[in-house]
Amino acid sequence: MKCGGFRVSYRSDERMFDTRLPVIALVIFLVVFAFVPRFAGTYWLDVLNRIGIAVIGALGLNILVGFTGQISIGHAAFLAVGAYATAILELNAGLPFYLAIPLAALLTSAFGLVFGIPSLRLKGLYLAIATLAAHFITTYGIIHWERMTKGVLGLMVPPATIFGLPLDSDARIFYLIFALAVPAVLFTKNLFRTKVGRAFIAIRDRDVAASVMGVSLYRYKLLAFVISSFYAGVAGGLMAHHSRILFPDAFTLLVAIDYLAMVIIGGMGSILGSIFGAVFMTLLPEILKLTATSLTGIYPQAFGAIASARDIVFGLAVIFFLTFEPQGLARIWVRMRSYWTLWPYSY
Amino acid sequence: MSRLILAGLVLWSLGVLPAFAQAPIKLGNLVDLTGPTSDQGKDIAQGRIDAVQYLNERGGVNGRKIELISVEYGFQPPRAVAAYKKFVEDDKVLLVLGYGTPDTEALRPYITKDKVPYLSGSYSGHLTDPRQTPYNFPGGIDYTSQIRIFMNYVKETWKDTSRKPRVAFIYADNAYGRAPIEAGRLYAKEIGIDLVDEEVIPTVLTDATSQLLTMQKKDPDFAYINTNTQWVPVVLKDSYKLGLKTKYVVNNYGLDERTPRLAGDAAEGAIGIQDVAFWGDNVPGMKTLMDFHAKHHGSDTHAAPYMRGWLWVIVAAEAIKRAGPNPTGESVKNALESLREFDTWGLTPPFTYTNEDHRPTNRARLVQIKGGKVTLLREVTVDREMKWIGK
Repeated sequence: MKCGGFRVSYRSDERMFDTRLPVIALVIFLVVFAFVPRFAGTYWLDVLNRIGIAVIGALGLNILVGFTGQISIGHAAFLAVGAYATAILELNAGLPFYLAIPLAALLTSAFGLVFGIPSLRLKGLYLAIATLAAHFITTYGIIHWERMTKGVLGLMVPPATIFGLPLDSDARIFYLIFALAVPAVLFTKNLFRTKVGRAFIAIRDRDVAASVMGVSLYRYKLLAFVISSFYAGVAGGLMAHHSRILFPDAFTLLVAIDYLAMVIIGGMGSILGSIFGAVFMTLLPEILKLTATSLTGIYPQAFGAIASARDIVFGLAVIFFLTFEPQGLARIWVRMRSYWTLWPYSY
Repeated sequence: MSRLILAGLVLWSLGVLPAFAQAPIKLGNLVDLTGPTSDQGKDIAQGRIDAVQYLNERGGVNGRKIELISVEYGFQPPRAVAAYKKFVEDDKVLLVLGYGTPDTEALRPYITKDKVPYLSGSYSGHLTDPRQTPYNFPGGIDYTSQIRIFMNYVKETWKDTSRKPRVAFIYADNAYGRAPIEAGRLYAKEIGIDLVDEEVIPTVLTDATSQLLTMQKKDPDFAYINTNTQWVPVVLKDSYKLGLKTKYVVNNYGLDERTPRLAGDAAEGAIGIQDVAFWGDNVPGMKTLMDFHAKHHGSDTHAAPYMRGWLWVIVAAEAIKRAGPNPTGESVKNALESLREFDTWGLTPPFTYTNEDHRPTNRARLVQIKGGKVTLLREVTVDREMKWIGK
């Protein structure tokens, strides 16, 4: 236990974890986590899987929005490209999922690169509107390129198969999702210890200053889009295998807003924040839904009112969290943790 | 403190105690209350809840109470898939009262694999073939039969021998809107009707002027509208505004007793295909519904979807009753397939499901809006031709 940073060498400065305790805790957590499918019901596994996918997607968006300061509301489009590319590569080119997902993610990166170009000239809200174009173009493409995407009728995706074992249940796909989510977190954590990550942060804080210091805005802004959409591509590929049915409706503008909300509620520019945000935004509607369902068990006549109240409660909760802690859930977590570790001598 | 615990216990036992008496029969209840079809969903949900309460007040089915597990999904297929998983894996429901076409069609493979009877608000023709979808039961006359009824009507009323009648399809851009279109094209060709135009309208419709202007150039004599009650008036009003001469026929979910109020003069002359009795219609079961409604929440008003909510619970309850004291998914499915000319309290024409054909009926009514009122035009029957099954 420690209550400050005592870094006396570069080695200790570069360390990912300050003490051994979090490493041990993390390993124990992951081992316990690996046994979750043995006792969790399908419904909760489904929720967990969606959280895992959201974590990857939110990390990607946080790299772009939280770390590089480039606002994007095209994230749903990037997810859609990843999902449909994965499905189409598997259905039409016969690729196995372990080739299709990376290829689709690369394709999504290329897509992100194209739609990142406006960021070279535009900032803030103007950029947000430019990325909106990505969203509408993608949606239009999915609905009208029916030969490949089946349009509004929905595209059925066969289960991912590895060594002849179909990952057709939530328990099985769970391992695939978390086998990708954990490295995604670690990669992001590492990214911001490298030159590239530092350049992103420099651009976010003041792009003019960054370019004066020799950070190529052209290269790093586009790179941020590429990396961010790669994550979205992976998340999309997992979505395709998790729900196994793809609809244009699954990638509405609301999804992009949800992901932005994850980043903002979780904590902009925080990796832990991305995870918290993903958990919060996936879990809260489910908890509200369960409450609504159990309440209607007692008062069946009130179902309509309760189901509609759900959306109101959701909105209020989001406002509450933002007002209460604008720096996000990650900040709440840090405050809580330091309260306990430093107790009774907190400062 | 102890009082708090006591209050908690009482609340808890309210929810749990009946379970000790005898395990209730659980049914999944999927509805859209917030999405683009909430014009149907609100009344459907209310109808189902009321019907279940009505049955439970009379001792349930085979002495067991019915419990509805209700989930609202905003007409979003991914949320329906999540809800379905919850119904089947966690709640272990006996039967699901499903909802829209996009979600029901998407769930087909799961439903078949899990052997869960799925009585849906979707009447898609793609759900009617038991060889492909043995556990799907559309809860009314299928959309393919309806589009055939439309074209039969066109053919019968067409007196001009110099040319064939011209028709157009106007449909919502989702699986529901598109469900009968392919079959409609084939049938038009088969009976000698010129299909001159198809207009796709968004699921949530605010303006149909551009689509109607395109359609106007093709000058169809009749147009078939396949979307929801809250969006059909947009088409009718814009058409009225543009002064189109086309006569409109609307499917069962697009026109009901609310249409004259929503569309005003523009609704005049529009024809609807009616699958279920409207509020206050003179049918045997209506008095029971209205009495129940007056007793429990007499102050609100309901339209056709409310009757659909009742209808599906009545059909499901009958099947569960026939399946005996220990119903399973399979036995309930077989019981549904044993329904022959089953009287749905007169809310619809009698239902018949067989193990070869899941189209519940081949009869409907044509209604027309005259003087701001929905009036009966005539009863219609369409052949149960097997080649249209599953289409």
